[in-house]
Amino acid sequence: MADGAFLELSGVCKGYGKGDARSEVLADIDLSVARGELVCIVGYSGAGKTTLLNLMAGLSTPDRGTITLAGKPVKGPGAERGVVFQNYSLLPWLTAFENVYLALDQQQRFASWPKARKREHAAQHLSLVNLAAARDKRPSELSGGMRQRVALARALAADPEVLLMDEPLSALDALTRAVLQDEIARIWEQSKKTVVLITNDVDEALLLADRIIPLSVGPAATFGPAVAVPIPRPRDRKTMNHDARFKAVRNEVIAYLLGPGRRRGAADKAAAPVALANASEPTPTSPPPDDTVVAA
Amino acid sequence: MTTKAKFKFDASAIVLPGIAVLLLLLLWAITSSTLSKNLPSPAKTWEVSKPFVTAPFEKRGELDQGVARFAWYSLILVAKGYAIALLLGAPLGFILGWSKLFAKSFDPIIQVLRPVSPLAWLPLGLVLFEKSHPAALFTIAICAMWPTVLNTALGVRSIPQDYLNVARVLQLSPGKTFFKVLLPAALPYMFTGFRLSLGIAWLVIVAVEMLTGTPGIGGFLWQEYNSLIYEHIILCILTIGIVGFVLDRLMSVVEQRLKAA
Repeated sequence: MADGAFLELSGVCKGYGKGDARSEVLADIDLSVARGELVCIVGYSGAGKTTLLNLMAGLSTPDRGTITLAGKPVKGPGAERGVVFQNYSLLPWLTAFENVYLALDQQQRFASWPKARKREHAAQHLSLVNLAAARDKRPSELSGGMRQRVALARALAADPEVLLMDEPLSALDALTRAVLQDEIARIWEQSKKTVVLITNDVDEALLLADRIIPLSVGPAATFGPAVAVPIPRPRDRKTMNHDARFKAVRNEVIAYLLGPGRRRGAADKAAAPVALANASEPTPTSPPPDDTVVAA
Repeated sequence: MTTKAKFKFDASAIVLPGIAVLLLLLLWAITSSTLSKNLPSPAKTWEVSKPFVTAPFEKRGELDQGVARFAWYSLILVAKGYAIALLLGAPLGFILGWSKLFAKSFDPIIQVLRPVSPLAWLPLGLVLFEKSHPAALFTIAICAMWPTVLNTALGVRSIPQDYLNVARVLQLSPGKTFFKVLLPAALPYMFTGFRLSLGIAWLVIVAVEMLTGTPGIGGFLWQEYNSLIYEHIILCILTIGIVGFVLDRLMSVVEQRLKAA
């Protein structure tokens, strides 16, 4: 955080509808991400995580508040922000290579490159995510994990300054998820890009993040207190579980999510904590370690 | 076991329709010999039609040509009219699917024009173009256009928001967005429209040829009716049906390929 705020959100609010039908999704979001920092936002399903990411990506604009990148206001999508979408969003009629190539095909900064160099660059990024062998396969021929690798390669190939990831691994099985978590950690170590990763998995955040920011339930979801993760890298998932610092951070995040973060906004309307009923995916409600004291 | 099962299936696929055809021929023969004396019998029909079927590309005179030759004339006319229908229908469908304002404004007009019969369009075409050939093309195009328009619009409306987001995040130019994202996403729907449009174009051709006297399978049918050679009416009906069936099969093969891709 030495060089201050790079990506900054201040007082950001976003809602949908008008008048009585209006529902506030996000309220008073303040966020400051330093250059090179990896921040994880952890929150309930349906709390507005994707809305938040779309705002940062420039796909939608906040109703109130400002979003700036390196001091300049974010007005729309831009080459300096790469996005990995939750459902991969690969174009099914293009091969893995063509999907990646499309990302740099039209970017201003690659305009002067000859075609061969652009192709080489795209191929390198497929290799970076260990998919060189699958370059001519279409998404329908790839497994979920491989598709997400292609999506990651596509976002990285445009060489963005910030990588925004929206629950990139939530659709994957536990084993593939673990492999890709390690890979994201490795790629981040190599590239040292600024990353904002949105997830509903506290353990994923603990493994990857410099800082974890919990997001309360909606409507009018907002951030809880940020928690720094003081665990040195590379982090090993096997030994981490017994690390006292790991437990402390985990407890702090879960205490917020199950405590103040769960009550937030409940006064407005009958706000059901949607995620609690959803047992199929690991939500922040996954059982905390034995010694956790959950604030009630 | 599997080969045997497969063989059994193939056999029934030929035998069962074969039996149905024989039953229909029997019904036809009985009808022609009892109820309707004017209806030529199957045997008589074959006998009279034989020169037209065995030498399908023969040209003995302007009005005396093999069925395949007549069908070919019709196909050329259909191809031209169909091409116009696609060239007009696909862009119109794209605009209709893309712009809510446009869809709201023009949907009632389309819904009213869509059910109008080719028989009603043709005289208007003759008034507009004063010649039978462009009038025929006009009629085919305007009748065949609607499935392409509506299915293209549906295809464009069905493009997932995710793909549009990808196009925006990757900052694709309007041209790239169209050719790499919008068009491939809408294409399977569009092809369903193309197939239905071709079916209609082939339906319309007969009416158009009858009314304009253009040489072709429909024109031949009408001329033989006027010459009291009723056997040839049946010959023409069968030819029209078979050609239409083949066209539909060809289009659905292409359509399936596109959907699988």
